[in-house]
Amino acid sequence: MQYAGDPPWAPSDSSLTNRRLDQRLTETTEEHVTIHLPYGLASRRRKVFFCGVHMTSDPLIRAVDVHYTYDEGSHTVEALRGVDLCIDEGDFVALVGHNGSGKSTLAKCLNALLLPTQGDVWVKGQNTRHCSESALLEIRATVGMVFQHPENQFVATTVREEVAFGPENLGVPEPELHRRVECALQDVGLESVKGRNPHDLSTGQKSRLAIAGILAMEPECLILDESTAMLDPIARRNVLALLDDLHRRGLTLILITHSMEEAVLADRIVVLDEGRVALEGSPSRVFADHAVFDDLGLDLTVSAAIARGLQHRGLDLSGETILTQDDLVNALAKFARVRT
Amino acid sequence: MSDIIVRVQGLSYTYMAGTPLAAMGLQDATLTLRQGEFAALIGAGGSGKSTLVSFLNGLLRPRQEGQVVVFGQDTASPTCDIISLRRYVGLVFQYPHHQFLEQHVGDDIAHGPRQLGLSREEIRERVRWAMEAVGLDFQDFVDRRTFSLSGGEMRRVALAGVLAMKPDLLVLDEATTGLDPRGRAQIHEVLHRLRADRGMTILLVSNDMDEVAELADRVTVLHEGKTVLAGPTREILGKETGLEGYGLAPPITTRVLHALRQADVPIAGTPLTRAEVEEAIWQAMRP
Repeated sequence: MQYAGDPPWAPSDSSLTNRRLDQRLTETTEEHVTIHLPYGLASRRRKVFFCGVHMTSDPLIRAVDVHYTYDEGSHTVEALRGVDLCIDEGDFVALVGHNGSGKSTLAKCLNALLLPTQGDVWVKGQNTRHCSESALLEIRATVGMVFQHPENQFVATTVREEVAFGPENLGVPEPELHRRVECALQDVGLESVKGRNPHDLSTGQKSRLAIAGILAMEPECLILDESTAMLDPIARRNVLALLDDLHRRGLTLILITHSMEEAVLADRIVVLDEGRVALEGSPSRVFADHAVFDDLGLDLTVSAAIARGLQHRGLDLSGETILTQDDLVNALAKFARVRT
Repeated sequence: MSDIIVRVQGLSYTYMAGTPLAAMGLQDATLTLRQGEFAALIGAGGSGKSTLVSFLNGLLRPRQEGQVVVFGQDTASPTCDIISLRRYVGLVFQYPHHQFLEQHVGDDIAHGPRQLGLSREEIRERVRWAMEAVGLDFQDFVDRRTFSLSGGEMRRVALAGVLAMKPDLLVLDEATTGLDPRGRAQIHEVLHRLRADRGMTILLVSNDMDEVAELADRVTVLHEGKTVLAGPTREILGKETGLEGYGLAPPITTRVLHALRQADVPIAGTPLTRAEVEEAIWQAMRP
């Protein structure tokens, strides 16, 4: 690529880049204005980028035309086919899409576990393709990843050591290391079990331990790859509350999930389909696009499905955005009040 | 009663008993399954669900207390024919990649049927049928390598491998976790069909209360290795309270109904599934 290695905001002469930007501009300008305005400052920055003029500031992560192909010898599997994505500081993005749509591959590209076979990913202005070993470590500390089966990642014999493992490898010296470990354990509520063997914890605690291990590296962004899928309802509720708390305190979150109940908690939903971004916007915006939404084989939340069913039967809920249980209950209660 | 195919009574099990690493797995667990029913087993993480289902096909056998009788065979008995038991009871685990025995998808799914002494054609037919049942294209996937599959594809292959055995009792231990909604719906449909056409009995182990509410007729609740509740799904998941103590929460439908009633919207009856709840709300609010 001609622009590979350039900082993302550098003016580019690449006709490909300009064409892509023009194309996006003509196709989606209006959508981007309406979708992204509610996110405030961050979205305004993004809009500047989409207008193809100058970048005032650097997004935390930027993926441009990212392709990734798995080579299996006899044949290849194209997991990503040109993904463009911006993650700004403080974003809470849910990444959804059916199995094989490229979610996990994209996640691994965002923290340089994989390098795109074509296209580029910048993390804080650093192209993952052209960076030194130390810059790579820094990227992985900046963008931490928690997987679905955290216990496969555990290496230490106590919870405390497990949390210390990451920062220790980054060369964090002792008093600071201690502080970080204690902080991380406190954040996830595992101080009381810090002497225990990670494998003896409950599934919910294991999940929180995996998050603590990443937090101790003081990341700016946390990617959770279906990390809540195996949890029981209460453990899941606790992990989601923890994520909400971390997000409020400024951590950028990318939540990969099949659960629409979880996805609607995010500020922005990005739907991947066949290795491309098929739909992107606020939850209400994404859910409002019935035709595309159904086409992509996505689930509605339980409450949205009930609302849609009632609407079809003839209950007029058209003025309401119903995504969550609270939305549904409030809308129906209001409807009942108006009627009486 | 003759229609009872699984009876687990007073079952206790300690992992690594007699060592410093001993850990309690089950303590007085009870489970009854009737021919052709769709049952669910729920409980918080670590409550013993996976341990309990491992007893159903003789992977674990009672050594301490309790009795496990599956299709008339007492699995603790030295004369129990475990091999034949495994033909009747198919177990799909939560970690599909632990279950693969062969390098290629087709071979892996054929692994079980090959042990049954079937003809090549019959084996191929079963593999094709099982792959179709779980939504894997035969041509596309039969020669793929199992380690290169995505998480969702692994789940499907593991399920197909068990279905190809045409078991009478199918146990799904979090087998749809990680599948996308379309994939889940597809598997649910397969389950309904297997049950209708073949009278297959299904035991679903799940953390997704909404899934359980939609599918299961009867629910057993495990808590710290002990069976604490068992009964019709509607009775167990239809109440707003009573499950939190076991690390569980009622399905969203139940929570919505409860909140509506709190907000003075009168909803009649005890609807549980999405369709039932929608109907009940419609009846209460129709113009």
